[in-house]
Amino acid sequence: MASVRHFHRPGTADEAVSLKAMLGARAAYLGGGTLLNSLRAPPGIEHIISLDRLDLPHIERTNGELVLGARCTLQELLESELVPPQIDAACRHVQNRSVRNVATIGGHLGARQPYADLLPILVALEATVHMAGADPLPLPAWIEAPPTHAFVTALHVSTAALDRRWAVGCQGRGHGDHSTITAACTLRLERGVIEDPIVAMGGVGCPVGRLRRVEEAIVSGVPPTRDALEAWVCRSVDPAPTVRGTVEFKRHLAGVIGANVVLDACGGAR
Amino acid sequence: MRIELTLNGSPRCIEVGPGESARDLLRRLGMSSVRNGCDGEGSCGVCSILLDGRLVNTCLLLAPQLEGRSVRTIEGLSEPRQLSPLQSAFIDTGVVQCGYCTPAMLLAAHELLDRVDAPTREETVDAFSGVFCRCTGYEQFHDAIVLARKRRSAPDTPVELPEFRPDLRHVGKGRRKVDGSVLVRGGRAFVDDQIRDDCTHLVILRSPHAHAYITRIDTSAAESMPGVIQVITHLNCPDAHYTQAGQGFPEPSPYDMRMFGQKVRYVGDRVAAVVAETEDQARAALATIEVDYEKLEPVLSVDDAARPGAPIVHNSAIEFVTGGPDHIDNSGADPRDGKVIYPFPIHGDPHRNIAAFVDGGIGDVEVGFAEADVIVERTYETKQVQCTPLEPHVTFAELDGDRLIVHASTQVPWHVRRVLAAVLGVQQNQIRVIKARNGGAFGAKQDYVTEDVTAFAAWATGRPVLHRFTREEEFIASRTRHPMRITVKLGAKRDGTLTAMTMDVRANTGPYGEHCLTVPMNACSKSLPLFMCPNVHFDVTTYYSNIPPAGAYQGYGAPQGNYAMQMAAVELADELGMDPLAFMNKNRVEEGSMLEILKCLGEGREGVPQEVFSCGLGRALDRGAELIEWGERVESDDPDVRIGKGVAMVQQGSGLPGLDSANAAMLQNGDGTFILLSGGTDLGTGLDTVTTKMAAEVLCVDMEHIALVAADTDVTPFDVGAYASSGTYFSGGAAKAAAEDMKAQILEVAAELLGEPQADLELALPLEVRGKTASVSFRDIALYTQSGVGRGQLVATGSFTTDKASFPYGAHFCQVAVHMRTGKVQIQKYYALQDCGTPINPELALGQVYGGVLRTIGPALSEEMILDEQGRCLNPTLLDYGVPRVGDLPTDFRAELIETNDPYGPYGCKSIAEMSCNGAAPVIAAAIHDATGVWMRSWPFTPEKVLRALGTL
Repeated sequence: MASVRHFHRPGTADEAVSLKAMLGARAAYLGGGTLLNSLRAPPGIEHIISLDRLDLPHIERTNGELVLGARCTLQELLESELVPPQIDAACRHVQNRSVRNVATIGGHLGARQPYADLLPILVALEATVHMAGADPLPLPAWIEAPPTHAFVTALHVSTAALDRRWAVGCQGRGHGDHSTITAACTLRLERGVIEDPIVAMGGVGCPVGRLRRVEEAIVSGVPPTRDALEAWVCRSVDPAPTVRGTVEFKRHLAGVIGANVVLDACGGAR
Repeated sequence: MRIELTLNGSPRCIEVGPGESARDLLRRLGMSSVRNGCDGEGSCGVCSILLDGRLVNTCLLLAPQLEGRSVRTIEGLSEPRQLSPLQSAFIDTGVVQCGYCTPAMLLAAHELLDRVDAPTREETVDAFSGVFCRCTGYEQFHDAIVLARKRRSAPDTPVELPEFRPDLRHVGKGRRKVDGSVLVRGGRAFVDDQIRDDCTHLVILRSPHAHAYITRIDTSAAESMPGVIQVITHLNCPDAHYTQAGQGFPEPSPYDMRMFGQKVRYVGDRVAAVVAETEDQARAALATIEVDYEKLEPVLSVDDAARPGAPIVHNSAIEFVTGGPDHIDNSGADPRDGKVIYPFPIHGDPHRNIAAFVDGGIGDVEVGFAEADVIVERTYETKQVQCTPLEPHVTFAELDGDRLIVHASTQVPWHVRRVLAAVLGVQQNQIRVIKARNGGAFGAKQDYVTEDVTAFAAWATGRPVLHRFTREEEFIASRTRHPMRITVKLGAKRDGTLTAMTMDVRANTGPYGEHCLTVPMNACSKSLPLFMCPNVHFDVTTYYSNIPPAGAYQGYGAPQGNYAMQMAAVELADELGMDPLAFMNKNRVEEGSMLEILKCLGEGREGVPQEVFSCGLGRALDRGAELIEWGERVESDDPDVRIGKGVAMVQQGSGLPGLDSANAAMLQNGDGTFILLSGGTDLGTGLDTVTTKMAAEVLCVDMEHIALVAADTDVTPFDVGAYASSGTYFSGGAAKAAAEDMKAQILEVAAELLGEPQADLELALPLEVRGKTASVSFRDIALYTQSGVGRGQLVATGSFTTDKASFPYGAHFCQVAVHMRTGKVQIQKYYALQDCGTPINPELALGQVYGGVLRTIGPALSEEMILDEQGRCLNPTLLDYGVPRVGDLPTDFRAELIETNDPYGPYGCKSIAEMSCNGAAPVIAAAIHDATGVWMRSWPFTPEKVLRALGTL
């Protein structure tokens, strides 16, 4: 990339954060793959702050939590026996293996793309974002407003959350394309009644959000009909038109996929 | 900064730039297998390496990230003059076509087989998921993996291939692609690999407006920027009007552009070029050029163009080289628009935005429709799609003394030379065009979209100049499939007998008229003759507009025309309550049919009716129906999914009789072996293997006894180039003719040496002429002829022209599953049965079918260039555009070759590749109708369109 003049390799997280704070928008963190070589890369990046020398967590289960280190690639998640099937299933939505080999969890979050396939399930599992340079934040809060200068070190998921019923879903135009709509749902089913549902969706806003009106509509009730669910989801989303579809189409598709994940979670994908 | 890495097993300590891409670093280190197809988007994968054993895209990494890592490229997995089991399996199964993605695919396969002993189909798809291949259709990669596995333990395991023509030794048999060896090693084969270290870089400033006059342009700041050598605009470029269409002279395309015009006609049109020492310097200078525009209303569709009072795309002075009307009213022309010069009349009217018009017919359609019991009239639309060769357009030009040497990724080296000579105002012998290997072409490289400006810059500056399209430029400034709106009207008697057919084609050529007559005309000429009907009429009107340029794309109008024609036939069959397959069989062309309609479809000259000398269509339809269990309905277990089946017939031509010509020459070496000089332009399709194989067959030698040099205007004889399905038929025919001339000369000399009559002699293995009493080796013949008492080195020539047309035919069948809630269409089965006469290279012929089918499944289901209301392309990347990947293959995908022996094709051959593109859209649409009851009359059949057709949206 023509504008990059310096490649920094800090030895500690504090050093990295200090560098970023000092250099501001002229610097970018780098952990895995990057689009900085692209002709469409954002201009003005003069400093790269590489995270490759930092001692960051990998994948571990400890103290009732699943910890997913920010530098783990999506392929490493798929290959780890510690990673549960709901995260595994969402990883598989990224169908390009070469991309999975360089795309890290940190980069997946940092890219803040609406098609980020892993984010809905992580939101639905109430993951917490741990950072260097800032206090931990619930994932939705981090998505809403990521702290300036901090970088993600890991995502933490309570192992209790992994016991919830779950489902993930997506639809793209073809193999290897970004998902047009990506969704996930977790819930508990107590004697046939839905409790604590979380429905998260990407592709209908930037980058991923919870469908709280849908959650409110289904909580403490029996699994609703597909038609009702589709209608609730359609009313809850406000997608933007893109080359992958009009607003009308995306809203419809969100309804179908949103209903799918809720009903699949109720029906026992696990 | 310095980094240490291990490159192909060797520790290296290298100085790298902090922002240098890993891809650029590896190319700098001589790894020619690491290529660029997507400019850092990470979507094409041709820059792949194994990084610590994992396949990654180097365009997604910065060079410093390689610190301490192990990097393997295909160069590190290759041995000189020896192929690995994997490399040989790739060649033998036919997956090496253009070869641009081959190193990446090999690394993916290597990684897969290291990781999984016996990969499943799903695991193979996953392994190849990171690499985009536009040529092969992916299917044979599965065969390659299976074969490579077997060869690990049994290196001599043969490839399982169909064989044809038992009477011949090479033709119809699997033989290794003659350029396979360099391609599987990632060798220096492409234009990018020919570049000198001191080359300068040319980049283009492109118009942000679809339609505007340039009222002021100031390049003074750019000219003073560091490293800038030259800035070219409409003010200092050659004042010549020409077409960029690579067609035979005189071209049936108007000369309606200058290298740079004062008027810009699409978003992306040329405004200025900067030549600088580095690409970064050129781009920096580009940003300083000041341009003022007088914006005009853009014309984006045929409706826009045809509207009374519409903005005129070419308000130009109109001229004719020959013919033309007695009086041309140029009084309203604006000099800023330049000229439109027609080499001969094609009935265009640029002042009404009409670039070309033609009509014609046979019989009397009024009578025919009056005789019909049922009439259907339907309109179909096709959208603009991009060829997307993995290697974008690229030209490297340099001077050799006073001569200009042009290294081009082109389909038409001789047309390039002719046009460059005309534009530069020099003689053709001052220019040499060398075709490097093409990293995919598909029609886009039939046009000289980089050669003209690059050659001019090199000629003007004396410096070596490289001009390489970015992926975005490849989308907006290359060539695309013409969007068309086609209305078909069919009439038939109650028993299904066709009584009349009309076809009205309205095509959108965009800003310039490349192929504006011939592509839309081909929509008729490759679809109407599939049906035998006494009363036929067609109208073809092509409009100028301000969309990105349309031009040649494999199939050349036939995919659009055949979509409309086949769909209308299925719709008519439906109205008749008749099985569409039965309807097709009742009305289809067959051997011995006389195609009267072709007398009206002569590509700008008078046509002639053609007899069908060979036709495997009936057998193709029968075989396809058997494979897909035609007539048996399939139900899904999922209540939201409906399943249906479809059928479509396809055809193409085999070159252009009376227009095309090809030439070849052969030299005998001192040991009796040969050099074949072929004008044929191999685009990765295997043409070089075809020409070598045909020559070897004639001379009764092994293919290894013939070395091929091809497509170099200084060295090899003239050939029109690779288009119109002419390669195997014409260039193969020329090679065969040259070999026959060589054979005649060898027999003549042998008769003299042996003292036997020629009639008693025959060529025999190994490299000898056998008589009744004795034999003489080719080596002795060469030593004799090349000695001081000999007659001189044996030099043979051959040319191929014909007035006979050999039409290839085929049938495509598919089964789709349509999800009624999401609109998603999944192709469960796709069978392509194609008659190419004698398949010369069976494995490569099958690869052409798979590739052609997938290249049109893409536009049928997802591919589409999407423009906003100002004519800006919104999705000029591989990812946003939506090219099909390995995981998009039909679940059951089969190509079969239906053998016929055409009496006029060399060794009975006909073409095969292009017709593969003509079936996907109609057969999928027909299957969607069978599944759901809705007619899809506009491609692509996206989930959104399917839902709209279903009434869900």
